[in-house]
Amino acid sequence: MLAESNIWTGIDVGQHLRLFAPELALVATMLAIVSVPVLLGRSARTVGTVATIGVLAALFLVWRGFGLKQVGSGALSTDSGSTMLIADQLGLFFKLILMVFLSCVTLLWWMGSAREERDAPEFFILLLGSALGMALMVSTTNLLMMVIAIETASMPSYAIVGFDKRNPKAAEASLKYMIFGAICAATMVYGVSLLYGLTGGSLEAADAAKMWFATLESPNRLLASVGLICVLVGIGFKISAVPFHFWCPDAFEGARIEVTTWLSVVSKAAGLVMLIRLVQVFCMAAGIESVDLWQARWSMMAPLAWGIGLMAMVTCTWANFAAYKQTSVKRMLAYSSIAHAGYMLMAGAVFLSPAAPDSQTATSALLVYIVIYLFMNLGAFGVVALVVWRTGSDDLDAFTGLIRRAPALAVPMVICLISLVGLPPFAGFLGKWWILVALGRQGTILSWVLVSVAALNTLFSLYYYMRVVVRMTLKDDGRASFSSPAGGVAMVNVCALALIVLFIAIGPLKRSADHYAARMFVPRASQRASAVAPGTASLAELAP
Amino acid sequence: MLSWTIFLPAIGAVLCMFAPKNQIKRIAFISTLATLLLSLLLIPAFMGGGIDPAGTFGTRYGLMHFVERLPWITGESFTIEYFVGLDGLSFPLFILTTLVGFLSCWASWNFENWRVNKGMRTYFILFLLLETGMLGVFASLDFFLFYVFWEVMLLPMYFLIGVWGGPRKEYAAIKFFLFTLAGSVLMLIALVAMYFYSGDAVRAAMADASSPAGAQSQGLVSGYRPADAPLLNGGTFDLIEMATNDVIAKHFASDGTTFLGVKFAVIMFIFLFIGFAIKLPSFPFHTWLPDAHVEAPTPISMILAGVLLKMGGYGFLRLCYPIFPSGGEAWAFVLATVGVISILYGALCAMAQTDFKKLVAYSSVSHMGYVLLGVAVMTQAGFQGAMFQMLAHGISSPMCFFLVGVIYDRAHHRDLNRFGGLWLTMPRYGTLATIGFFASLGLPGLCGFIGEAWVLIGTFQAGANPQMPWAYTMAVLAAAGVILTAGYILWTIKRVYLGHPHEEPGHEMPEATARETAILVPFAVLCILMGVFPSQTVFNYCNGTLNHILAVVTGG
Repeated sequence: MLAESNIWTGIDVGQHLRLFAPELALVATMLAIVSVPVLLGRSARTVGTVATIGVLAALFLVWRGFGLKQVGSGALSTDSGSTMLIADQLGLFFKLILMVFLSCVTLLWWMGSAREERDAPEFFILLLGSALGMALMVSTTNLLMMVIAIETASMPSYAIVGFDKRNPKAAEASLKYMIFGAICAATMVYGVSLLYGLTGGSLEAADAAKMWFATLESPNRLLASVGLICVLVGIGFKISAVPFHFWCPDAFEGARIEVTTWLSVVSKAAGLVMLIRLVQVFCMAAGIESVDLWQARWSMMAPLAWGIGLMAMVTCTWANFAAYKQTSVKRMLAYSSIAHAGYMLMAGAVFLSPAAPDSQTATSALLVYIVIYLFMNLGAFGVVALVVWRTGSDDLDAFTGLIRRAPALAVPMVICLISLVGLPPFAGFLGKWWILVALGRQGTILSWVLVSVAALNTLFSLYYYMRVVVRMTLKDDGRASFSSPAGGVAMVNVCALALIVLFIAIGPLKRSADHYAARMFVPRASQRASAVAPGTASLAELAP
Repeated sequence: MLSWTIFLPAIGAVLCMFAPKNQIKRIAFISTLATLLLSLLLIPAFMGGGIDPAGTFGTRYGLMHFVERLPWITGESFTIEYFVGLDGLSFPLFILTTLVGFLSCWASWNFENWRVNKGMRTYFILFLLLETGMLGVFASLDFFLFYVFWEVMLLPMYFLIGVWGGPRKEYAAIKFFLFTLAGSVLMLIALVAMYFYSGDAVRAAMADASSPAGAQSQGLVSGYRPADAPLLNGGTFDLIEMATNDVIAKHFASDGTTFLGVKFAVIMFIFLFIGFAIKLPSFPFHTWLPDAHVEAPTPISMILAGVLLKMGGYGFLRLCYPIFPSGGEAWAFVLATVGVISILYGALCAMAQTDFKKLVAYSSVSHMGYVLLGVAVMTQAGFQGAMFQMLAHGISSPMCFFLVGVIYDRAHHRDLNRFGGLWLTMPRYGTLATIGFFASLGLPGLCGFIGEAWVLIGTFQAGANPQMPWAYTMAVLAAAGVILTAGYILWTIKRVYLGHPHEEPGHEMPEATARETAILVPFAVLCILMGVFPSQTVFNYCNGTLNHILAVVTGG
């Protein structure tokens, strides 16, 4: 079956490769970094320069990608039903976020680790490799490709978490992360194999969705659901949803601060975009025709929506309570990132008929959230990084009296933390707000439960974020003040400022997110995949 | 002009950020004074009670002045507006805010002598931001905007208590934050739900071919909306629209409209109510208040008591009752009971205090109980009394807090039993203090009396309503609260101002300074004016709007 979908048939290869120029740029940079030690030596400066140029080139190429005519709605080779790689504006938007963030992480590396770095080539190959994986993650709905993309993103992450070989915490974190990742990947592959068998040999998510709906009253229902759940486990691991989150606090605490920053935002965001693509595929498979028909079919979607919704609720609530007793700020922010993954996961519980107005409202909300979350986390982790580099500790105590010792760090930290809580007048509130709106748009019992849980979690999370704020502003034990590199101070302050500006003028961001989300490419099931297991009703017969 | 008034303090805050250190106080002072003067310019428009002859609000809601309306956040079929305006309900509270803001800024003038006197720049920046937040809450007519301003106040207030407060400041500050946020979380749920349920209502009306053409178009564009305003089919945040649009009102009140299985109006009403009751604060949500008031520095206590508590009452009258009248009816007994408990419990607690500031704090709980009782009975006198009580308390309680602050600055303690005979050593201060405390007591001729009396009258009137047979009992119990109030206030006056001067080393009690007197005199004058001319000072401005709101509530 796979052999049929030759994506290169009758297509101008050069033209299509341009759509994936950013990914290719990353690959080229990785190759360049491999050859730099041979040609120019292993100095961190040289390697860092090459990597930076590569990252900026990729960023530029993404930026240019928005101008390309071909990008709009299509995937490569829609004709043969393959969605091995999708090039649409949603993916491009995410890649833009990814590359901006990659540049910021590179900047952090320059400020912090560059001076003592001995293994710069390896570090950047791993970093760029995981970036490549994430870029692929958001560009596919092919089940096999999803597995490969997740692995491409994860493998380098395992290694980069344990990059400081002499740090026992890093080694432990890396091992934990890898074992957990291996199990989840195996589960996912197993799920994919089940779906492959049940669809009669298709790896397209759209076919799997069609098959899943078609098994509504057949004995294969259970098997199909197990396959689906296994796939969700793989994605749940990537976004560290409870109960697949155990790796996250350890990995975040053990890894270098710039690696933690990297993993906290984009690796989860990529998983979420992947999930939202899947959700849209399911929506498309269930109710293309009209909104009314959709209402009748809600019962078919409900188990899936409730499943994702339940996972989201548990994730954010559990993480917020677990964060209470942490004394390491890095670890606390790890739990915070799990909680935020929970909020974002709520967008995945919104199943709207593609025929309904604003059916992509959840996707758009997720994109806005990711952008805002990027600034919040970059700011917060940036401050933690600067404090760690000066004081050598990420303990809560290291932050005592920061408002006197380093006001230029404490003020943006307060803003980022309050924004993470989700209070106006900072953009974090609006991130949450659009998720709530997307849920309200769906308007089922599930969505109102989720709205209530999300709102209550604001309250739960307040206390532990405020603990840091209290340390910084209300306590002082006379520690020495310190100064930080200007670049770092500028970065965190820009993040804080962005949170205020984005709150007042969210309009353009929201509108462009609407725009890109609405032009998401959602594949439909191919004709040939109708050969489901015997004895099952087809979707058309289920229609009232 | 309204927007300028709201954001003037914020502009002052920006100036403070860059001003040289010795100019900060002056800038803060001038910006609050300018805000006060600017807000006083708004008065002429409200002469005559804000009655709306042209029926701009479909004759249902009082006239809104100084309306400013701009789209703020627009998405696909989604518009959040910057929508502000003042009517007889918000306008008196708006003026109260600018007045208390100015006087408490002046009360911060001795910042250098405080226990914690570092970070003056930050203090005044936060102070001014707080004032902008407060003014915004009273002026916003868009629910989203209202919520934003409501939350904007939280953070400055947290730091103002937490950094410059007393010994238990951290505890008090986080408690204030958590309590208020708990309320706003419920409000956030209501915010989202009300938007989408109103959208449902309008869409249903549009789809229903049998409804008359007039009703259909009413569902889309009500009387006062400009023709180019966005359609309502996604829903609305417009508070006036939600209260006056028949289609939405019917859908909200319908038994068939449920939220998680509970009747929509009932659960939304209680969500909003809890949010506002925490702020009010009413029993059993009041426990943050004594802590926050006692630990906060004097000017911040004045703001807390004078303005922040009023937001609870304002929220009842702006959101809860006009939008969910059926919820108000369903909960009337509970609310009135809670109100009466607040009155009695607050008064009894006040009586038991030895800390002067805590006594004033508990008296606030007691006084705001009248507000809750007044709105709960849903009568004209009740609403008017609640409104008057808010304003009267907004004058008398900041005054009391400042009076306490004055002697705390001298004695450095607030133990009631360690004062005495202050009238002898500080006659000018003593006179003003007596006016303040008698106003709080509710002596006829001073401002506290009118509000309590009107609330009691309103409660008795409600007794005639067959649905509220309990109202007489409530009125009698609430009236008993007046006696308790008299008890603790007279006892306090006896212990602090009368009798022999309390001799203690380091207990110098010089007369109130010119600045202190100048802050107290406007309060005292207002106490008397509002007591003697209640119509000219308050009722003439707000009755028109209150009657309209009452008509919306009772469906008249």
